[in-house]
Amino acid sequence: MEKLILLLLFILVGFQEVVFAQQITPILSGVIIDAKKHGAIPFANIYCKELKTGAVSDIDGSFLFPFVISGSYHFQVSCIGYHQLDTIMHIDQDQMVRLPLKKQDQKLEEVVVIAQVSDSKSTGSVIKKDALTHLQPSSFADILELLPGGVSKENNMSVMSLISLRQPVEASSFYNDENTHNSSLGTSFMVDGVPLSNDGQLQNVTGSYTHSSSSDNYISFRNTTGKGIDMRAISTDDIESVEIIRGIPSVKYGDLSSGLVMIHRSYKELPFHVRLKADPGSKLISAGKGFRLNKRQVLNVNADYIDYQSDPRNSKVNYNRITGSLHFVNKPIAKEHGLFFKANVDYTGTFDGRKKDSQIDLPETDRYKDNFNKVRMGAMVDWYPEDLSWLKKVSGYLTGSYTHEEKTISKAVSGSNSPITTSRKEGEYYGEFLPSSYVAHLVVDGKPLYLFARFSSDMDFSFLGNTHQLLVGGDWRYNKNNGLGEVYDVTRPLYAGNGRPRASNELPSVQVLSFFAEDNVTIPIGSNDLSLQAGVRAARALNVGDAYRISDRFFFDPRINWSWRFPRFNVFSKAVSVQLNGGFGWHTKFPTLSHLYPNLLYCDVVQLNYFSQNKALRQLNYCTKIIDPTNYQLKPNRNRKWEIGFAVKAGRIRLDVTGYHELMESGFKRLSQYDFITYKRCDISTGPSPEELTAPPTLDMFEYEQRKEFLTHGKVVNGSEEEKYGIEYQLDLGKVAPIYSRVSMNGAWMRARYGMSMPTYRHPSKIINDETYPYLGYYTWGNNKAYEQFNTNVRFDTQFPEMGLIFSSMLQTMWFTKRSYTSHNGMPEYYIDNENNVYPYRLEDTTDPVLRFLYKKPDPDEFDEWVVPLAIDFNLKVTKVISKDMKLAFYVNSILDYHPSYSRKDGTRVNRKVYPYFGMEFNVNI
Amino acid sequence: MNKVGIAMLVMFSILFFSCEKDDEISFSDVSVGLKLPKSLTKKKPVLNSAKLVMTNVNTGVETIEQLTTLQSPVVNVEDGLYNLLVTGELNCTTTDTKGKTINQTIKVRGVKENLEVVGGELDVDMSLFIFKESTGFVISEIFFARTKTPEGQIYNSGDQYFEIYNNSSEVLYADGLCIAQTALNSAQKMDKFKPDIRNVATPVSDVYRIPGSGKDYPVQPGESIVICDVAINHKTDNPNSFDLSKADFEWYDEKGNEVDVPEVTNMVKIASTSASSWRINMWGWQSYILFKMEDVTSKAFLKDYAYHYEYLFVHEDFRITMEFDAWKVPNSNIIDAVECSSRSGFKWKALDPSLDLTWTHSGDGNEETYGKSVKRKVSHVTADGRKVLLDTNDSAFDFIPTAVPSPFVIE
Repeated sequence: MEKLILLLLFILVGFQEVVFAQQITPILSGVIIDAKKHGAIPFANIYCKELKTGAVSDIDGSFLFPFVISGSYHFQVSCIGYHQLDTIMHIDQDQMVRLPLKKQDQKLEEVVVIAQVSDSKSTGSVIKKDALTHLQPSSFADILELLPGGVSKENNMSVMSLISLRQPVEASSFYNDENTHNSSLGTSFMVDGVPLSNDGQLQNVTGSYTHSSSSDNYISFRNTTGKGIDMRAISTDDIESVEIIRGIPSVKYGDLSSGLVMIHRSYKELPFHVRLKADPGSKLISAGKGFRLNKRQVLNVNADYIDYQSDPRNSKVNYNRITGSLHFVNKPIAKEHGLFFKANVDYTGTFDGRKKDSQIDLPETDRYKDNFNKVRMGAMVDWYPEDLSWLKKVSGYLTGSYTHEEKTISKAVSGSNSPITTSRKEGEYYGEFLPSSYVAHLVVDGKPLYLFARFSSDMDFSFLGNTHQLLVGGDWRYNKNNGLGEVYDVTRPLYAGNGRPRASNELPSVQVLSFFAEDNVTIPIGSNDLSLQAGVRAARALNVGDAYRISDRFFFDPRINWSWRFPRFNVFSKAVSVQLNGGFGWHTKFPTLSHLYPNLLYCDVVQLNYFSQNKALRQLNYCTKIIDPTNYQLKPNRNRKWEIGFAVKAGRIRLDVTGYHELMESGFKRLSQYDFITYKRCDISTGPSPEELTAPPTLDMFEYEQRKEFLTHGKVVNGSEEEKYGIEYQLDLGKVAPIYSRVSMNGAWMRARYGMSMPTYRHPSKIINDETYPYLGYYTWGNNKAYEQFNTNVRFDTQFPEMGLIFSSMLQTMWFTKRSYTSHNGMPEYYIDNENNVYPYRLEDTTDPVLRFLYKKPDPDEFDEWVVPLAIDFNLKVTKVISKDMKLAFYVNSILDYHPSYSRKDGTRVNRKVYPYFGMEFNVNI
Repeated sequence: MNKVGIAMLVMFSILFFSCEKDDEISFSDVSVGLKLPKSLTKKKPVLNSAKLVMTNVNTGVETIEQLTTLQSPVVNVEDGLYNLLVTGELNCTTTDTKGKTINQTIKVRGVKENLEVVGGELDVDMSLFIFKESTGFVISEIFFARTKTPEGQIYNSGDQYFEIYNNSSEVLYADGLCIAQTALNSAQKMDKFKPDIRNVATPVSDVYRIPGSGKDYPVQPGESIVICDVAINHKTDNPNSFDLSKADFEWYDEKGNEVDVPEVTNMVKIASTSASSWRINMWGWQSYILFKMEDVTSKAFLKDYAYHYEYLFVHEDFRITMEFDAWKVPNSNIIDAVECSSRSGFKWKALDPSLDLTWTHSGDGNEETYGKSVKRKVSHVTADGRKVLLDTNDSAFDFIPTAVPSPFVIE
């Protein structure tokens, strides 16, 4: 019912037009008609130049124009979809006129509001400005719903937004604790041909739990360290087109393993335009203009601001973004050759805040604030020489960005009688107890500096009668963090056990140098065409210590994309072309600063805890062991892709189908490692009683027991095996005349499996006879899952130029989603005692009174597939073109839905409820 | 439109259906087959007085039936979900070894929870158990909820405590007295829980014993001992907490960062399933028993009283059989038991009804819980001024829920 009301409301708002009429003679009245069909044209504008006033025709096409003085007047009659009519009329008495308008050539209908299949040889989608305007994105994440396999999501800017290509929706959820984020880390974002980087970010909060159900998830859900680009910070205005390559990109693009997003901004003259958008969570305003400085030079200026609140009634959680951009182009006099120079300066500020809900009678102490300020500058030169037949283009790009990110956390902490630990060396220390309650303040100061340079040239040469285009070049990227890292009072840490902050600026830079060469050729074979794009990229890390395995070698990424075009033929007098495509490629993503240089781990065990009632006599002694979790063997994350597909074009109809297989065997993953700690456990009853003491006792006054225990800790290893395969399809039927609509369909069947390619250790938190568990298990399996989903999105874009309306209806069907755990036998391969002796684990050990705790007996149905059946959502988006320069748009997602209840295998009935959400947008060009 | 139509149809049909139902309320006869404990059958039991209370779980309406015999009473009640409670007194006669006749008044009770009464007639069996009012040590106060600091943070430095009171008229010795936390959680009903031994023994997860060789720790009639986590004056760190520096014992566990107060004697740790130090359940979802097992050493307890159980954990589409190891304490060894829970959290009983018929609570797992305890009511004061605490093994009746804590003070 609510949805119906919303729809009605919209229709009312959309159609309500106010006619300004005054009862003063003489009156010009009339009707505006279609010159050809003689039908009335509603909502046409009639403008009188001399009086500078206007009227709008009503639903019958009629209008009323009152005048003060008789005379000749110049009228302009306009309506979207029609040519403007200019006419001069002499008005001295009441008149009734018929004003015919000629229809324009279906100009509006050419608006393409879908993601088109990319023209480049790599599998991808291109989304042009019209589609972007129609989509009304708040952030870049909204654009991704247009991709095959994409689904619309409610805009949530209170947590980071990471890209997820070719991954089922559930796999990339933040609530999936096995999410390695290798897909988002391995997707490169490029703006105007230059990649963005988040590899220098070090915003981890030591000691905070990363488990999604912990109360600290407000920290981890906003921490993109080692996870890739936060799409919230990317403005969607000022974009001319976006190309998202899911397949195998050209070797020109590197330091990526999953995909590539190329954003091209406007470098052209544009009128001043303003966009206003509001939906229940956010308000966005953006404005821009493209100034033509002279015949060859254009300067574009753009700014936007977004204010997001996760709950409009509660300002405790909010996110703001401000972006500003200046970009300049200098084009050569000749169109084809000469020097193109582009330069840009961008600013991005994001301000993420969260306050804890205060209890009525308690002071508000818990706050989270993250201020991110980034300045990016770049210069790009493309030279197209005039006289050289072999050298087509020489490019040189140089860009840099400097970010200052400051995360401030305040939190009330219970000391829990824990020690203050500040020792920086291994050994025994006397210490103090944390106060039982205090407010901790932490600032994480990050100043990532990123530089990127690329040089490339395009050359033509002939070989065996074919013209080859050769691309050669190299690039260099530099990531360094000059921030102070975690800054806090070490005696009042956010988490007990912290106390050894490390300044980020002590870490070296991470640099990657790459070279690439690629050949592009089209070879006619009979009346067929074979196009080939084949190249290789070589990349190595610079400035890493010799101890690192990556220090001394290049990693090679061979990549090839081919297409075979059959000769055209005719079916029912329509030209049909068929093309087969395929590709193979390796992709390498180098580890980031956080992967290569983790903080040292300080493990402290309390040896003496003399907690006298007399505070002056209290004594604490702890022993510190330092573990370096640096993985010198860490390799880049490499992904191998295979693709095969076809494209059929028949008239305006186009079908594209691509099958893919991706295998990443050495993705980054945090796995558990072990070590031992030896310490003294003092029995305070063996020492002096408080009455005998005048000063705190010392360690030697007590008898102790020497103990040795396991320490397990996380380490980043190449331990994630991720396999993705599936079929993506897109069918574009073009305009289907009987229903006035452009009909298109896309979707994907995809399966992704996340496994463990390296072993891990687990220590049961089990107490056996009042002792910690004596063994540690070595496991080659984890909580690994496979996900599958199949979806189809059907879009109808219906355009009524007479009324200036574009209706986009999208039927999103998720046929099913599936999930299953990878089967395992529940047993460790072997186990280790605290003397580091290794014993094989046998089947009979699963029933041993002690060893059975190393065995995780699988449930009979543990590895069964869990299936969520059919779900359908219907989204509606309507754009009303008020005038050529003014557009109003409104959308409701899930205005209708079908989410039937279903029964799970275990008999549980699952009821699904979907809530519609909506928003509106206003665009003006001045 | 379709959806709306369906919704309307459903609404109308519900209206129609419920109207019809209102017209004819169904009643059923419930026949309760009472079974006396075996130990009583030889004692020639004669019913003195007894009543059966049937409480409708949904409406709270109580139907009380005075029983004149222990033959299966029949009660006619409106259909619904019921809790049944039988309380009675029997006069028993036995002869001792010398042939002398001994007359005894024995109290019995019986309970049945969540009985669905429907279908006109229903037979249910109910086993009665002997119910003793204790006249020894009783748990007089449990402070499980923690306090909050002035900053609004939960104070985590060990101010939880138990107070144990000598409710008899004689000097009793605390030596060897054990306090244990139940392994079962009254706010988490377990699916397919097995083996269920609650009628003979209580599953426990943490057990601490007061040291002593038998006569080291006398407790005078009307006096109490306090055992706590960290025996310091917590008020100096947190004005909302208490001075526990005069506590008699503290429980200390060398694991984690647990601190040891040298001025106060530590309890002997017998068993714990926890990998860190024992913090008692702050929402009160676990229950506590006081018991003695004089001749059982710590080692023997760990070995001979081990208890392995399992249940099916279900969370959305995640299901897994969970296995746990704990220990069990025979119900016959238990001196006093207090079932704790929270008003909206209560799902099932961790203790057998013969130990505690009901449960008490502090707050409702919410802000109200902090800084509050559960305290046993004073039944009467004897002529010599000794307070006798109420102990009918019915915590909802015996205890003041959400009470103001008063360690060392019986009020």
